[in-house]
Amino acid sequence: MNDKARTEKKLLGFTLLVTALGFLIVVLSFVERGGLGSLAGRVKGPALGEFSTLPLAVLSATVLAAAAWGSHLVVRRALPTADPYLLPLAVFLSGLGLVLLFRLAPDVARAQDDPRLRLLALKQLAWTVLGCATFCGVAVLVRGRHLAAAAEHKYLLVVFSALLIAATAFFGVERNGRRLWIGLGPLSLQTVEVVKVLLVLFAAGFFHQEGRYIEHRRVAGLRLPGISHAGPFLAMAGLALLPIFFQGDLGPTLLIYFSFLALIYVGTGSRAAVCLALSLFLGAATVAYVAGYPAVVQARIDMWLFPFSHGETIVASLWSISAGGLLGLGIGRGLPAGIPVVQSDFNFAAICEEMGFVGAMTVLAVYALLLLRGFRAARRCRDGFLGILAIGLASLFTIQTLMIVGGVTGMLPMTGITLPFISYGGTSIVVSWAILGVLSLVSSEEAEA
Amino acid sequence: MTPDQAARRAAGGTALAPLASRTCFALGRAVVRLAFLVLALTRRFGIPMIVGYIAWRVFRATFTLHNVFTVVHLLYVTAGAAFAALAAERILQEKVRAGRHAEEEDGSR
Repeated sequence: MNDKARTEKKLLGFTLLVTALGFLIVVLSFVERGGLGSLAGRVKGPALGEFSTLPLAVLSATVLAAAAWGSHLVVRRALPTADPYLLPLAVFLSGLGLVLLFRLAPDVARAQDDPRLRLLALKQLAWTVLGCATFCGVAVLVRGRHLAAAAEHKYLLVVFSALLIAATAFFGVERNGRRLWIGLGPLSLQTVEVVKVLLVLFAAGFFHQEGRYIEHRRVAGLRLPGISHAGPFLAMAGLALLPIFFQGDLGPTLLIYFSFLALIYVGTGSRAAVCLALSLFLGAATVAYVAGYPAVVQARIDMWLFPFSHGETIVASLWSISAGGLLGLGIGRGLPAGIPVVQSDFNFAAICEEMGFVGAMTVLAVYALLLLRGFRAARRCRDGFLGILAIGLASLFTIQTLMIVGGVTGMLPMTGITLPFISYGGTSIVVSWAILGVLSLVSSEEAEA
Repeated sequence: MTPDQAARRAAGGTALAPLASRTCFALGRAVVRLAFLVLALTRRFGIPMIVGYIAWRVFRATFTLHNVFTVVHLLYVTAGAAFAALAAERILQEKVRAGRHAEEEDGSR
């Protein structure tokens, strides 16, 4: 066993111990609220029959541990030189997400009067296992040459993404008045989660293949990439982003836009281009706000600027965060279920309330470490394309985390995207694990095999 | 119910049984306590018994579900923070080791 395997094993052991403690505290919180009888309390599940709280906690902890340990063994065998920190950090976040959902599910089901929501934790567990399997699949089957071959067809990737979004808009499954999912039998796939990875693959391919030919010109004193080279990229970016924007899905549009900015900076080295793109974004946002089209932009900015007079979501989140204090109220002792969509968009508020400032800072520190390792993998990779791809994927995680944490804490307008690995959302979980698999691949010496 | 039993119940006989059992229990408890007191006064068992009794009372007073929950919660939050700190520390150690290794390679050249 090499040093990396030993480090990964130790950190993974620690993570699983922390997660087990999390499950223990959730069980204690059930006993505290409902007495010992609550552990045997039956929870009705439409497809799974009946099950009890205590066995479910033990099952969840065991299944997560088995999936994580299995992933460790597979990744060490397939990619022995892969970064040993990525997997334990992701397992820590996944474990925390499961503990949180396990605790939130009954309260959310009661608050929304929908007994099916009691199954959230179990569904998330299934998605996490599928995510671990995807991670292993990427580690075993995918190599740098496969990704490079896909990026060769970069324009097709964009067209495919646009078609996927259009198909979702017309034939998708409607939930809460929005069509963002495509039904695949009993499952539903949030297409934009897949599209964001395809678009990063497109941008990485573009800048790797065309980056060196891009000529810079001085326009009004700014050093900008020439339109003859940057034009195709801008056209493709527009083709990719506009359908998502008109679908009313603000979060992914911004996420992909800012990831593109990161890749433009890496691909062209032009700070002026990034500043110009940011100015254009701010200008477009201001125009959209003043014109009131799309309505969602105005609504989100109003909620951010005047939280006490526009909707209660941000206010509920802020109250929740303020209740947490230094060490939190304790898992199960807070009232985060009062925040709308706490299970997917406002998890961070629940973490702040029940685990306090220390818990929130721990989560942010773990994200910071994960992202640093992602950028480190990109920096050390000898293959230019894989390096750019890793930067794009690590940027996705970074921007996603900043956007949702900023939205929940009232620092940025709320955009409604998930917190990677923690929030409830099947496609998001599986795609996050797949991205982690690619980052592990890029960090290893086997990537170029 | 036999006529005899019915007559006893009518005379309030049912109350006698619990009263008798309560009395027996109280007497038994008094005897056990006396035995403990006698043992506590002996040189051999005195100090361990007093210490044990105090420990038991402290345990009874503190081992509530609320306190167990609080301890596990603090342990959880601390362990989470410790995990992040441990990972960060290992990453830094690795960086330092890599730097030292590079310096040694430079020196050997």
